Amino acid sequence: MSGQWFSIEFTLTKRHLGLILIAGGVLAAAGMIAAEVFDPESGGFGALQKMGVAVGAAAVLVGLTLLPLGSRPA
Amino acid sequence: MITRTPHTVGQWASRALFALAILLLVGHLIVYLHYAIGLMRFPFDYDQGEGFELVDTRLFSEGQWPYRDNEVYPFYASNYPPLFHVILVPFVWIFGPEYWYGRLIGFLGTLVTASTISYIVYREGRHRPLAIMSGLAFLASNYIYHVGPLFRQHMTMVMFETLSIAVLAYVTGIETPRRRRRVMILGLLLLLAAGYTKQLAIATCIAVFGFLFIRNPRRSLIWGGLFAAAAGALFFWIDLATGGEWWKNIISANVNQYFFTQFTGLFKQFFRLHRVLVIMAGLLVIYEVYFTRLSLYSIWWILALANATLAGKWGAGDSYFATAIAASCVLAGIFAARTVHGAWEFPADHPYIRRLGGLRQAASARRAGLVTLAGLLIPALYIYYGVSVVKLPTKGAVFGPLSEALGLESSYWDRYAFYDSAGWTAGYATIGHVPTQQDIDNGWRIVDILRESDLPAMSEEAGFSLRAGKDVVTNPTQLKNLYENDLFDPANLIAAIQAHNFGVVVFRAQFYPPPVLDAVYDAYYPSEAVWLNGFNYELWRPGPPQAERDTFAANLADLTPGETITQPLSLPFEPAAHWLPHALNYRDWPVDAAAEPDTDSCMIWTGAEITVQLCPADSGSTLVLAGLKE
Repeated sequence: MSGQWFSIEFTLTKRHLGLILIAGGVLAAAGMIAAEVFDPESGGFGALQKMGVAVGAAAVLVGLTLLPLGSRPA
Repeated sequence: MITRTPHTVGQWASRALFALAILLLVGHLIVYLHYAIGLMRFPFDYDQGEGFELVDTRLFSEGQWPYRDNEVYPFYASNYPPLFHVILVPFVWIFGPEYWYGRLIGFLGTLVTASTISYIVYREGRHRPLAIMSGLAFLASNYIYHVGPLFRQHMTMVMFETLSIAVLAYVTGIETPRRRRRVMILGLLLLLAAGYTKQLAIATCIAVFGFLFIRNPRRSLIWGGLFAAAAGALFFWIDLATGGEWWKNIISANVNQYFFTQFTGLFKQFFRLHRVLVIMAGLLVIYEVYFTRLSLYSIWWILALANATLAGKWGAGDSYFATAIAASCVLAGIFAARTVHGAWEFPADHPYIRRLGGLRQAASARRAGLVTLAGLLIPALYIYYGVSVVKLPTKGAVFGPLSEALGLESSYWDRYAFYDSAGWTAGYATIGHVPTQQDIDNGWRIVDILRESDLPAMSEEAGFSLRAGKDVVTNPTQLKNLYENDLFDPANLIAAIQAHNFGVVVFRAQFYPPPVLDAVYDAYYPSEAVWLNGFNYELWRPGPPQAERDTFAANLADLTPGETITQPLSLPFEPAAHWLPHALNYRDWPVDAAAEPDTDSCMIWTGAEITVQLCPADSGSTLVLAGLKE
């Protein structure tokens, strides 16, 4: 499958894009929360971090809605 | 007999609305042109930092790097990549260091960007009026108006970004390998140019390679590798040639304090002004995400908007939205063209369309009516946008009566005669007016003051030093950024200030590292203020020499109630009379600002704990400090 990704003909599908958005969104939100857990003295869970979590959550939502679109080209 | 059908009436009404929209946007273009020409005639810094761009250009014209050690005289370095300045080098060779050609190139760059936007919209939508309106909408934006004709590199970056997007949008669809390679190289060269004009182009770089990755990961990785190698080689060459000062000055120094409220304020302002474009752009992006393939334009728009969060950095502002505005104009224009053509396609077998089958059929059945409605709604939206972004002078032979007829008053009261529908929020530059002849005259007055001394001046703006034929000393905001990142030791600069190596210090906003300001407060005194371009420029002159200032400080520290201490000063009486109240207040010995005449030739200041008498003397002046009894 990984070899297919490096084919000259391969293009990402809506499902691939959805999975990437879900992964990216989870990483972003988790990263913001982890930063607070590992460095609680950095000044609190500020507005920028909240925005990061919100954007991450939005990316996950959009990603989930792309999954039913299957193999349509992204 | 001609029977006018509703369809024909709708077409005529649509044409009238399109004509009105174009007329309104052309009006914005005229105001912009007026502003640009007015700026080109102004011989000093108009916006903070313009003079330093000119200094960088001059250094390049002399074969020198502007990325240098800030801790040695003249304590100057650039914090921007070189391409904009290099482009202007021939102008320095021909005309010498002048502001007008940098502002002209910036202005022409916005015209190229607008033309590219129009070209893209016409290529995608085949609607000539909307293509024209899309380009004009870019120039009509308050933000683009603000920064377009400045001697700054930002809009040149946006020009290269937009050109790159235009070239690369269909590169993956070119079937001939040789042609595809040539187009890719051209597009990536434009992208490289954008990045080496200003670092913010990183978002467009990510957009391009994100798009290429979606279309074909292999091609993205190959070309991404080549691009990274080229950009990296250039980066490391400059860093090597400048002994590491390149990295320090353009990367490390740009890590600034972030103000979230500055970003949110600017974003709310940006959305209020451009909501028509942003909503149309957003709808097109949603359509592409779910119903067709994602275009490079959409990915660019998303990344440009995300990048605009950097507008919350100290020193950033509305210009950080310029790329997002260009992308919004492109997408909105494409959306508008598709809408007026009725060219939206929703596949019947789409999982979400299947659930909305009835709606799709209803829309298809009413297509003609919807297209007619679109023909009225779309130009009306651009008219709404055109009214949202109104800005114009409120004085002058033409603009005075026009602003009066429109009921518009200056947004800046007596400071500037200029109305701006944007209002103000932190980070929004207070510019947009055309400088007056009085501003020009006051600028030359400051230059004359600098020329009174043979010594260099430490000026917060480079223009006065350039005009006086003196070295440009310090790039204040760069020093401040470096200092806050522990990358600048101000000791040498402080020593120079304390030793009165500068004939005068010129402040506008005092954007220097705190220890540097402290040194100026100690060694210099505010002599006079000159009102220029809506700002108070303070001219600080040298106080007594270091040894006398130290004696003065020691005398104040030793002074007891009822005691009197006499100190001779080498500073003549008149400047000493300006220096003294400042020096006392600076050392926490507050006195009344106004001095009382003591004798025919002496002056006396009174505070809660001290009286100070100043008298002229052969050697300069004499100071008598008297501690008040409790």
